[in-house]
Amino acid sequence: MREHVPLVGPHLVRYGTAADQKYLLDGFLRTYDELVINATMVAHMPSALASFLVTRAKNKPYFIDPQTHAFQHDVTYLESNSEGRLGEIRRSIQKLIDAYGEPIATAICQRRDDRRPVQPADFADERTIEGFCDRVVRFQQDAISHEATESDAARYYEFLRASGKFAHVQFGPSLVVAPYFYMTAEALSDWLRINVLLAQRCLAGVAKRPVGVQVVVSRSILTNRRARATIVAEYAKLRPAPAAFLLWIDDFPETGASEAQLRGFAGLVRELGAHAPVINLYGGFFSVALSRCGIRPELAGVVHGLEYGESRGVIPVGGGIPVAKYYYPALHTRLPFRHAVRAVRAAGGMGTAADFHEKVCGCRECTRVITSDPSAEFMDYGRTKPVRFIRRGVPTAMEYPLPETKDHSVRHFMWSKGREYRATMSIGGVLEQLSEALVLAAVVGSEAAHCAVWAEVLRRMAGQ
Amino acid sequence: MKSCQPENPEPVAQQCGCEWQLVQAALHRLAACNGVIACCQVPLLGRCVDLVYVRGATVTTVEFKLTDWRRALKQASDHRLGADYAYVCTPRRRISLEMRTEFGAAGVGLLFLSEHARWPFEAAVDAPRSTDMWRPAREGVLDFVLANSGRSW
Repeated sequence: MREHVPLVGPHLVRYGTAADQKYLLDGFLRTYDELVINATMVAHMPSALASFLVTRAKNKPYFIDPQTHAFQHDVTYLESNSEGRLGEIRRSIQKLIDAYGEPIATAICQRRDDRRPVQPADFADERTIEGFCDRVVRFQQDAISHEATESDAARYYEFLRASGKFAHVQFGPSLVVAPYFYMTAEALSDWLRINVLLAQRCLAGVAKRPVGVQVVVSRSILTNRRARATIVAEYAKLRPAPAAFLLWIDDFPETGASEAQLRGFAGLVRELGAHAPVINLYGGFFSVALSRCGIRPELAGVVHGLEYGESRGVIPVGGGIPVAKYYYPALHTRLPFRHAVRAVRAAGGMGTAADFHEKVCGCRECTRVITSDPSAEFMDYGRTKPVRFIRRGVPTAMEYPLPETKDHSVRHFMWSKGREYRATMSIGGVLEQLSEALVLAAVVGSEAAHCAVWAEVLRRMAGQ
Repeated sequence: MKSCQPENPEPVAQQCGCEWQLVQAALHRLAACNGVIACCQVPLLGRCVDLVYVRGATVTTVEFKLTDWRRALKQASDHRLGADYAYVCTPRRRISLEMRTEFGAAGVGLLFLSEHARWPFEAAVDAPRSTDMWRPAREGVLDFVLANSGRSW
């Protein structure tokens, strides 16, 4: 292996929008190890990000997801929906196109009628691959560093460095990610070849930092041994080996996965992990347990977003109507609020505050919210504003969580995740805890079904 | 899926072509009953209840369905969190043993719309008092009904 995975710890958080900031700072800073930032966000606000990372996030390590796969899907996903710019390429995407250049610039050109997704054939010649890799890597290495050294804020950062306020001011990412594209079992050969060529170019020396190779595949590949073997065999040829494989399974919520899919996922981790450590870019408690219980020590890190980011589809979809949910620690899933009410009651958490903190959650937010009467105070996680409107000609009413409801829920989620990653964990303990949680199935139904599936898969893999 | 015809609350049941018309028909007749406050489309912990009426100190929810009573039963079962009694209302039909058993197990009652009586419902299966009621949810429902009763769409 060329070098050890450059992570400082296993808990990574995806920084999705500027509004996420308050859940990543202050007390939360100590609950996670590293940030993953989308390239579109870097392109959109590099100076604000530099300031955030150096001063407010106290030099928290980070790396950037270059999101190159975004250019292989229907181009309408790249277009603005806002009134004044309808149909134009979104500004942050345009900045990425400007930074990445060919062959993307030609495919996603300015004339709307001529736009098309980038295709494997666009990477036919070596020079195109070299140029594209160089630019994608340079963007990650320089976008934020540039702000720190060339912008108006540079003097301030120099002052911080000189004053010793931050001993190791680190503007660059902990690793750079090779350009990558999404692969399905049906169209594996074309993109796999290109992905390996792109990764090899980055590993050959263009990057000044450790290189992560992002492997983005459809769920069906997990249960397709032949496709999995083909993928692993090709990535195993990379020389030198990457610092890490960054694994993203398209739309793969662990709570909804079958035993076969989870076993396939663990198999892929083991197979890739034979060549370099693996980071799951969208994972939940199953991944954390897999790693922390020593079943898959190759799984060096697991990334999640704020609340909803434990899985993600490659093709962007609308966010839908926001719903009040509560991350139920024993079930390791976000429950619709009405189910959470029943689960808290069944667990005996509706009596006193001490009952709630002992039997449901004693995180900082729950300690702050639930102080004397859980049966009334728990509502703070479910307060909504009813809105009445006409839908398809029929009057209806929906509930939208209040801003303070969402704030409580996200804080509780972040504290809970911090505890999960840091808890002492053994396979016996996890199996026992999942088994106990299954009792809640009597009141939350299928929302607890994953506990049995996870327990069975973990038990088998641990040989228990 | 609910579709909607022009509002025409009477006559009811068989003549009603869609669930929304059933709701409107029931609401219209409840409004004429003394001591009853009623409201349609009431939010309840992520669900939207077709009709809630308050009589005395009792909160009752009603979910209307022309077909697929099992789906209605699931929804009504969740309504028990915010109500004293939860019902499903369907057009008059034969009640199988299986149907009666499932309603009993869910703690939900079954109503038919009455054709001519002042009170719009006939209880085909009585609902037991909810054992799932959560006070803050019930208070939320009550507040909404009091604030929106008599409001027309």
